[in-house]
Amino acid sequence: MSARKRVLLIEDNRADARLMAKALARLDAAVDLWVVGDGAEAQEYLRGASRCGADSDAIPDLIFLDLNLPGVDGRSILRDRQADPDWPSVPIVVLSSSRAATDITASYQLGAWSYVRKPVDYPGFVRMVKLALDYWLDTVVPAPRPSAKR
Amino acid sequence: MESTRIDTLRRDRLRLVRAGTLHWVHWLIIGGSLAITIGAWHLSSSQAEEKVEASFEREAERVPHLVIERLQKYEDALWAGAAMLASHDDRRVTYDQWVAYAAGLNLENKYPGINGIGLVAAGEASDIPSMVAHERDRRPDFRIHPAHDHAESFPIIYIEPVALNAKAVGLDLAHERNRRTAILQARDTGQARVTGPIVLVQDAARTPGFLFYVPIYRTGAVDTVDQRRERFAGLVYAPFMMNELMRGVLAKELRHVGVRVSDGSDVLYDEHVASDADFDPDPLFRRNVEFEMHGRVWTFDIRSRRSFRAASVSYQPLTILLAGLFVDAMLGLLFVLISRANRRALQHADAMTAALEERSGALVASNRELEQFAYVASHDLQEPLRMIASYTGLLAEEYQGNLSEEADEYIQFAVQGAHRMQQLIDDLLEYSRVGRSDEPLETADCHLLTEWAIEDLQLVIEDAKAEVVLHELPTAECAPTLFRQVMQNLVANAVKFRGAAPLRVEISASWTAGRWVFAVRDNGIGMDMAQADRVFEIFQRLHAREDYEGSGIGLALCKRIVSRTGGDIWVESAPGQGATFFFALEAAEVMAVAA
Repeated sequence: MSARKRVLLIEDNRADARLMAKALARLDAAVDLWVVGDGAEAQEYLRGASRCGADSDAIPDLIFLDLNLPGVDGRSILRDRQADPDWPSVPIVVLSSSRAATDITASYQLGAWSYVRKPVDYPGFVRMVKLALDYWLDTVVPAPRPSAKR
Repeated sequence: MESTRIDTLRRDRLRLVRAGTLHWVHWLIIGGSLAITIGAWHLSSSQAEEKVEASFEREAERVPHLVIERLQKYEDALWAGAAMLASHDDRRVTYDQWVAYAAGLNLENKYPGINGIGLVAAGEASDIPSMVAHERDRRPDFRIHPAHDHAESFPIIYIEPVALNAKAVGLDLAHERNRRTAILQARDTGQARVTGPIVLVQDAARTPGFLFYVPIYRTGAVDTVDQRRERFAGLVYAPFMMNELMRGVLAKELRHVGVRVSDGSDVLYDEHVASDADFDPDPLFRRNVEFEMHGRVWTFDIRSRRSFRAASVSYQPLTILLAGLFVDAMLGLLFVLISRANRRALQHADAMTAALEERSGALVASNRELEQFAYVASHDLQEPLRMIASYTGLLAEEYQGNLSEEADEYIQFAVQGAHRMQQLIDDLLEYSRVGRSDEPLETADCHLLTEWAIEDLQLVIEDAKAEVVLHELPTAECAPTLFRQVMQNLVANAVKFRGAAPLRVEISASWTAGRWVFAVRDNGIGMDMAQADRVFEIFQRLHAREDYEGSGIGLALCKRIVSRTGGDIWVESAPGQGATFFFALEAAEVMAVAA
């Protein structure tokens, strides 16, 4: 297990992606942030990573997923991961402005690990990112990954 | 619940469909009514027929009786003449005495139809010269005629009034069989007798007539035929012309029957002649009766006349029939109209249902659009808001110390504004959501729901050091989540607008006007009742934001929730006196006002 964690952000809003980068920098977190700004592209990437094997470096340690994406949206990506038998257990945190019950319910049903409403202000945002990293990367014991693809 | 209502409506509709067609009950009623009409018509016409027949019978009976009665009267007059003669020894009076007697009878007025009253002598043919000689004392031209071969001689001695009967004076009635036979019968029986039909010598028109005899006997027993023949002294007689008699007896114009009187095959009197305007060739009724008339048998052939037909026509049965048929037709028409009205009502209802379905479809579509809108609002409206707030915040952090204190304050205002904006958007979404909530009504424990609502508010209640008193609440029909939300908002509202005194919130319920009314009473700052309606309007605030937080959505939400089930919410308050919020989930029962 490498020292630096890989965090994948799937987010079409560049300002939001920038905010995440700022927050990680502010927290001085030992993570590599990958940003994919397009749903279809993200889906392709994750399928490829899954094929590479559970212990592949292509597989992130934590995924932040914006629910509302143009084209292939967050739900489709969740559904796609849920349907993939080779996909290892990677925490997916859904980020959304929406408080709508349908979004929340659908996300959890499709295998989201958390549903987080994007905080309005910057300090709130930083606090949220810190909590998520602390919890999913440092607190939770992840499921062991098989060393090689069968 | 909804499905049973729809089932009921569907059943009602089927009933309407049935009511829109004529079925067997209608036909039964119309058929029964027709049968009654025809029955009534039949009964009435048979009654009318019976009545007509009875009226004919009455008239038919009356005619011969009048004739008989009249002849009886004539007979009495003849017997009176006989009695008068019996007071004379030789059964003979003088001519003058006879004239006086006849005048006294006042024939013309009292015995209409009688032609005269006469005295007939009885003798042998050999007596004729002496009889003639005897009369010639007074009447020189008296003679007995005509000559005949019979042994008897029955000459008419007197006949009054002579002017009408001149030809009969001296006529020997023995000369002709018909006249003689009746005389012999009268003589032998001692009773009044009439002749068969004859033509009177005094009748120039030669119409049928007859003679009416009463015998006279000399003093002595007349018990046997021999004694009668021995003592036979003559007859009192009266000649009749049948037409005259009948004219006297029957006022023709008052009758609706005609009569023909016959003696054997001889017709005495006949009204059944085609020349008579009232003659009915095909009479409705006819009747033959025979009467023994002083030795003769008279047959009365009585027939109804045209006028009888006219008088017997009854319009009652026809009226009943037509009126009945009219009523039946109206009944049928009524059924047709009712069923048509039902069909129209059904068509109308169906059209309305279709229109409503269309509209409800449109409503569903509009609701879906609204949901879409709400979603868009919740997401797309908040994204830019977050960008503004976040980057303003980032700006504040990264340039900390490089900006003036004032600039930091501006940034703080901007962030606060964004927060409020988000709250408003969330509240609006919530307000729109409860309006569209489809949470079903169920019987729920309101007490428990309220306890949960209070638990949710435990922190703010403790912060305010408030005392919440929950009285026993009922189990009632409500949407549980919404009920809980109303309670929570009202208690939160009470806590928020507390005054200086320790806050006490009291929750109770009472059964009023057929529904549960819940009350949340506080001893907070209260309000002016003039403002009372405004507190239930969305985003209306009575106080400055600095004094009391919140967007002003809580009470508006409560109102929207209770309105959803047709209920009410209202407040009673005064400034500084606390406030009591009342709400009911159902409409009040409208009390029937006794007239």
